[in-house]
Amino acid sequence: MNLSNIIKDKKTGDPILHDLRELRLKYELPVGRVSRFFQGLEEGKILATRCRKCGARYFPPQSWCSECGSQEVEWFEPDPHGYLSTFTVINVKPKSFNTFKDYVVGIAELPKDELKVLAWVMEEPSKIRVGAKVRVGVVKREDGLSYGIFPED
Amino acid sequence: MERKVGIVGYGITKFGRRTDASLSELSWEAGAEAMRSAGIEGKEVKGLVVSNVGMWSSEELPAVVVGEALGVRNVPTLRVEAACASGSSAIHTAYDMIASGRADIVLALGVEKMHEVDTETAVELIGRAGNYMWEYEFFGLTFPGYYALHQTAYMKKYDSKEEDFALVSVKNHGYAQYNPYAQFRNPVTLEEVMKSKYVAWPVKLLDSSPITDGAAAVVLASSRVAKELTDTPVWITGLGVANGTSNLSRRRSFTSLEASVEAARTAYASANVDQSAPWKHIDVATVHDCFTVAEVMAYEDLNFAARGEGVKLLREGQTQVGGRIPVNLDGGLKAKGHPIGATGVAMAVEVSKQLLRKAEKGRQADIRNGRALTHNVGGTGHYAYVTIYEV
Repeated sequence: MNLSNIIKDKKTGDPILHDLRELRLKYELPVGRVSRFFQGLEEGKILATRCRKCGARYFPPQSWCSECGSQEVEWFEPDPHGYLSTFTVINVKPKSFNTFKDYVVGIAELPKDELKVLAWVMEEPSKIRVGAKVRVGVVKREDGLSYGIFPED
Repeated sequence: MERKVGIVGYGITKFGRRTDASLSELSWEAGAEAMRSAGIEGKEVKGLVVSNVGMWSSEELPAVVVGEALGVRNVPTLRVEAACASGSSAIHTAYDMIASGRADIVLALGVEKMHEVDTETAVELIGRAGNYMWEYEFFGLTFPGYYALHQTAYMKKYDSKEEDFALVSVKNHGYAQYNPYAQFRNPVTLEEVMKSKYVAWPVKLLDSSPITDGAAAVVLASSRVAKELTDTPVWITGLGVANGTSNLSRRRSFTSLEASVEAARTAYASANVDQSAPWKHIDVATVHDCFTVAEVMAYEDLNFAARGEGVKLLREGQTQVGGRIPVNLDGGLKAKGHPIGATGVAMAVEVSKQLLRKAEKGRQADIRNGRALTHNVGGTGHYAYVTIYEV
């Protein structure tokens, strides 16, 4: 270690040791128990799960029931129609999203199945209103197949 | 039968961009001051609980670093995490160690060193603090974004405006000018808040707490030892904690944090505080204002105001000195700063100062009941801690 590795903080001017050891993190996330959801996206469907014993419904989908403890859950396609509960526009983006334009994140409530879905709202922010009719559907994004919230007339 | 537990000493560092000090050095600043004010040495500490969220800082085992820095050796030592409520979780854990009879003196120390990474990376790491795959990986939510979802819902439900929330920032910056430990000691005007740029519409930069380095510490003791150490212990008389779902899409309401409501209910019951009019029993409070909407929701979740009337309470000046219940007289997270793992402990330091009438000129509440409240939220209602302190 020598003085050449010591830089000045750009705001305070304090001496900072510029770390020579760099760590990059990229996680590998297990999705085997919800893989039906991703098949559903290929089929153009947003799928959720439902407990066969107590009827509790889950979105995001999960392979067990947190309410009654059962592992007997089934896949189903909720009615994709509902209304927008709330939304925001992400203006200051995190590092791993900094290649995207400002995006709108909202929560759609699907009243028929009493589920909520958090996703991007596929509409100009100025045209979005809380309480507006929406549907959830599959979206082809530049980073892959996903799902989103669409305005409905 | 639980034993009574009180704060017998406290310490806090200047909050801000503390590139002059390492995590170890910040911990020493706050911890040594706390032990000095309690009149004890490191070897008398029989338990050490350190709250630190980390990720943005290089030390992986901060509790061990703190023990070494303060000369605390061979005692139960652990790090706790409850996101932005980590500091309160440290105090509650230390409380349990003493109340159960396992220790007489425990140090709870919160420390965060967020400026070891660049701002973009910090934004990323905080944004990941929801459900990782379904909310972050797919949709890139940020922390202001989470609270923005609440503000949008609140504005619609109660027909309120961005200006209403901006008043929180004006109030808290106004008090921070009297707090020498605060990150931002500049007052701000409503116009300045409204003109600041959006970080996650409708949340603006001046609605948001900053990225902060800092540490705070309290020495907790059993009643027997507390009375030997000081004539003025600050007793913990009410504790309430609750959790919320990881996925925001599984919440029932976006205009309230259910965990806060539940934590307050439990804390009020344990301290015999009037559930429907808690301000009658409480002289001063710190609430979790990581964003301005969070302070407004806290007024209602804590029953300081009826549903939909938080904005009115604020506008009428009822949360300033002399009002119904003064809130965040230290500048709050907004202006004092929000070193995530240290915030809850800093709140305990603040209410101790208030109850002992040691707050700096310009920001001292009238102490009549001798009772104060801290409300500390982790994530977006993922955790909520409410604690009642009394002298």
